[in-house]
Amino acid sequence: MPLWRRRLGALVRNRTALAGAVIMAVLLAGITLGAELMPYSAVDMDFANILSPPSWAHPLGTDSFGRDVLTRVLYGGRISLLISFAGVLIAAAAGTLTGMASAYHGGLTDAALMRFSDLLFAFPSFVLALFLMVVLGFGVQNVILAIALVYFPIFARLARNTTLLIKEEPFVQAARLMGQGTLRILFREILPNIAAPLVVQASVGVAFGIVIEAGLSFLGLGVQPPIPSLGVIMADGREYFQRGPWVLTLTGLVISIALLGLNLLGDGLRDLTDPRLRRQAEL
Amino acid sequence: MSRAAAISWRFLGIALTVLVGAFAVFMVMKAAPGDPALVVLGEQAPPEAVAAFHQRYHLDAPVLEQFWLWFVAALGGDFGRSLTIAGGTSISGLIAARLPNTIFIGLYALILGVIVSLAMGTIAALRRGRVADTVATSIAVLGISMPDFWLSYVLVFAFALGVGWFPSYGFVSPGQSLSGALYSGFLPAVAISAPMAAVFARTLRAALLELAHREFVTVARSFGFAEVFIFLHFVFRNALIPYVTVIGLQVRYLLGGVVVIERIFGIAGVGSLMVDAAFGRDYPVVEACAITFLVIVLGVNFLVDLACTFLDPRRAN
Amino acid sequence: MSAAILEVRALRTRFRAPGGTLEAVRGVDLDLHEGEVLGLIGESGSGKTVTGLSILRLLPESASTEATLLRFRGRELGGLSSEAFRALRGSHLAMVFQNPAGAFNPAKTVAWHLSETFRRRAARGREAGRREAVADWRAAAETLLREVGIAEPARILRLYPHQLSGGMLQRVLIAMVLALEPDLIIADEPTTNLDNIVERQILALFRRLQRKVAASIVFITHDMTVAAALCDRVAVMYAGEIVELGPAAEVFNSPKHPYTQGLVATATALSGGGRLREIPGEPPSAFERLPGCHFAPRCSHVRAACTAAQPTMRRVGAVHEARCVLYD
Repeated sequence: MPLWRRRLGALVRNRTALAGAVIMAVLLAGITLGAELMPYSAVDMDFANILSPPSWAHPLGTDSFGRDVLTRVLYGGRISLLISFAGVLIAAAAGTLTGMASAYHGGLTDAALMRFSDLLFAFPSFVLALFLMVVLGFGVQNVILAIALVYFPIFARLARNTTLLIKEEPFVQAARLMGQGTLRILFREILPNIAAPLVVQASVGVAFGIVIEAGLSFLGLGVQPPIPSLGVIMADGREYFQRGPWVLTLTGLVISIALLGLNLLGDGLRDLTDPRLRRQAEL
Repeated sequence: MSRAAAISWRFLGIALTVLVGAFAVFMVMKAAPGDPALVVLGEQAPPEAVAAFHQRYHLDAPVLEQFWLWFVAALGGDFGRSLTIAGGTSISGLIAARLPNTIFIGLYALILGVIVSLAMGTIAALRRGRVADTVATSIAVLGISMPDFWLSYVLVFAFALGVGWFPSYGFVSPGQSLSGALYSGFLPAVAISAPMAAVFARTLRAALLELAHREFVTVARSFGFAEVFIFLHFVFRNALIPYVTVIGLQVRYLLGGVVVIERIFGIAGVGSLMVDAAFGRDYPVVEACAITFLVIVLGVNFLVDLACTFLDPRRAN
Repeated sequence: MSAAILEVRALRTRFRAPGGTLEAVRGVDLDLHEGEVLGLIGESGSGKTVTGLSILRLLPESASTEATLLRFRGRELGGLSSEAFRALRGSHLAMVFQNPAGAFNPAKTVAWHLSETFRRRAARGREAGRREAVADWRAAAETLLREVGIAEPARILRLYPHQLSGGMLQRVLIAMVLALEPDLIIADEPTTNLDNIVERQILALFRRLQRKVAASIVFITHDMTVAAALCDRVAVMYAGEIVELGPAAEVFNSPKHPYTQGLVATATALSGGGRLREIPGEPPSAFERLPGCHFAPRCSHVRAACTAAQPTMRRVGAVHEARCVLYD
C-alpha cells in the first residue's frame, strides 16, 4: 500500500485527528462556500430587524444594524483565519529557517539568535502583540506581523532543538561529506525530518493566532471596523451585550469550535507522529 | 558550582535580560511613527511649543543618551510621567497602585487552576480509560479551546446576569477588602484559569501515566510497599517536575489573559492601564507596562526554575 | 533433600498485545528447595524473566497468569487477594532486578530508600505479631552497605541514584533486599548490565551472602558459566518451557537436551577459546504455538515424533530430567 494511503489510514483511525479534521472541514466549507450561499451580505443593514434573537431566518440573530450575524461570522471567520494563518506561516518560515541555521552553525550565531528569540519569548504573548500594535499602528497587516513575531521564537526554538537532534545523524554527515551545500542539506535532509513537530506546532499556532487577533480586535487595537473579523464582531456585540447577548456569545462559540477543531487536529497529529506513544505490551 | 552561586548567576542573567528587554522596548518605541509632542500638544501646535517640549523631555538628544537617562531614572523608580491618559502623573505611581490588583488576579487564577488541575489530572490518570477519565480529558480539551475573554462573558451571562451570584463588573482591591476582592475577582479568575487548568491537567495526567509504567514502580511493588505509598512517592512526586515546568511555561499566556480580562471587568490593573495607554498613544506608559510584564514573567520563571531545582535532584548539580 | 520452599506447576503467562495473544510462559514446573540456588537459564525471550515476575505477581495489567499449583512453604498463593499477596512481598518474597539504574526513585536519596526498606521490615514484624523495630536503622544500613562491599556507607547514603554507578546501585539494591531478610529471592540477571570485573564481584557477593543469610534463590541468567559457578541446580528454559532440569554440575558436564548441549558447547568455546559453533536458527516468536517440540526446527536430532506432539519431561539421571523424545 503506498505510503500516503497508509498515512491517511492512520489519520482516519486516530479518532482525535479525525474529529479535528472533520470540524475544520465543516468550518472551512462554511467560510468558503457557506458565506457565498447566504442570502445576506455581511453589510446589508435591515433596520426593521435590529437585535433580533436567533431564529430560522437568522440562525445567529442580527446585530444592532440589523445585519445577519451568521453571514458576518462566516465572512469574519475567513478574515480571522487568513490573518492567523498568514501570521503563523511567516513565523514558521522565518523561525524554522532561523532555528535550523542556528543549530547547524552553532557557536556564537546560535547563542546570539537564541538569545534574541528568548528575549521575544520572555514577553507575555498578548502583551507583545499589544505593544507591537501600538508601535506599528492598528490594522490587518500589523496584526499579521504581530502574530508572526509572537510565534517566531516558538518555531525557532523548536526547529533548533529538533535540528540539533539529527544534525549528527549518519545521513546528514554523509551529505556533508559528499560536498552538498548547507542550504541543500538543510532543506533536503534536515527539514523533512523535523517537519512533523513543526506542523503540530503550526496547527496549535493558528488556533492561538485566532485568539490573539480576536483579543486585539475585541479591544479595538487590532483589525479595525468596518472589516468584520471575528474579534470586531465580538467588540460590536459587547456594546449591547445585555440587550443582545447572542452576538458576542455565539461568535465566541464559533471561535471555540474552530479552536477545538484545530486543537484536536494538532493532538491527533502529535499522537500520529510521536513514536514513543506507540507502546507495545511490556514483556 | 554551589546552589547559591548558580542562583546568583541565574539572577544576573535575568537582570541582563531586563536590561536588554528594556533597551529593545525603548528603541522600538522610538521607531514608532508619530511625535509625542504633537500627540500631547495637538497636531496644530506651533513649532516653538514643539521645540520646547522636545527640549523638556530630552527628545532632541541622541537616542542612546535618551535611553540611558530613562533607564537610570527607572532604576531609581522613576518611569517618567504619563503624557496623555493621566497627564503628568508619575508612571511608577500609576503602576505601583495597579500592580497589586494584577498580581492578585493572576495569582488567584493560578491557584484556582492548580487546584482544579491537580484534581482532574489525578482522577483522569487513576481512572484511566474509564468514564471519569474521558469526562475529565474532554473537559480539558474544551477548556483549552475557549478564548478566556469569551468564557468570561459566558460566565457573566450565566452567573452574574443570570443567577446573580457574582458581580458582572467592578473589582474590589485586596487592599480595601480581601473578601471583597475574592468575591468580585472570582469570575475573572475562573475565566483566566480555565485554559490554564486544562493544560496543567493534561500534563499531569500524561506524566502520571508515563511514570506509572516505569521500572521503579515494579521494584517498589516487589518490596511490598502499599499502592498509595508508591503512587505518592514514586509516581506523583516525580510527575511534579513536568507539572511545575508547564506552569512556568504557561504564565506568559496567563498574563495575556489578565490584560483582556482586566478591561472587561473593569479591574484597575497594569493590563487595563496598558490598553488605555495604547488608545491614548501614551508611549511612556506603554513602555513601562511592557517592561513590568517582562519583569513579572522573568520573576515567575525564576521561581519555577528554583522549584524545579529542588524537585529534581538531577538538576541541582 | 530439604523441603520445597516453592512449588510451581503448570505456570502459564499470556500477554494481550496488538498482534494477538503472546504466550511467554507455556507451562513451567519447578521446585525450589530450602537453602538452594536454582539457576533459570535461557536466552532472551525464553520467558525466564516473565516466570520470575509471574511468581511474584509483578506483571502489568495486560498480562494474565495461571498455575495449577503455586505454593510457598506449603501455602497456596493462587487464591490470595492482592493485599494478602502484598504482605508476602518484601517480607518473605523479594526480587533483585536487572537494571539497577532504573530501579530507584530518582527524586530520593539512597538513605530514603534504605529507611523505607527498614520500615517495611518493621511492618512485617508487626504483621507477624512480633516486635522487630529497628531503632537505629542508619547504623544497620551502614553495616549492610559495608557487607555488600561499599567502602564509605555514610557518604553513599547521602547521594542520589543518578550519582552512583551501575555496580554501586546494584550493591545497594542487594543490600536493600538483604535488609528485608526474605526467605525467597528471585534474582533476575543481576549482573547483566554490569561490566565483567564488577560482575565477578557481585557474583562473589551473592555466594557469600547466600551462605550467610541462607535464603533460597532463583537465579535467572543467560550466562551458563555464571550459573555453573553459582547454582546448585539449574533449569534450562526455551520458548517458555523448561527443557532440562538437574544438578548444575551434571547438566553442565553432560547436557542431555540438544538445546542445552548447544548452549554448553557455546559456553565452553567462548571460555576455552575454541571456535564458536552457533545453534542455527532462531527461537520461535512468542505468538507461535507449534504442535510439537518448539526446538525441533533448530534441532540436529529431529525425528518424526518431535513434531507430532509436545514432548514431556523424561528422566535421564537420578534427579536429572530432559524434555526430549531421545530419552524414551
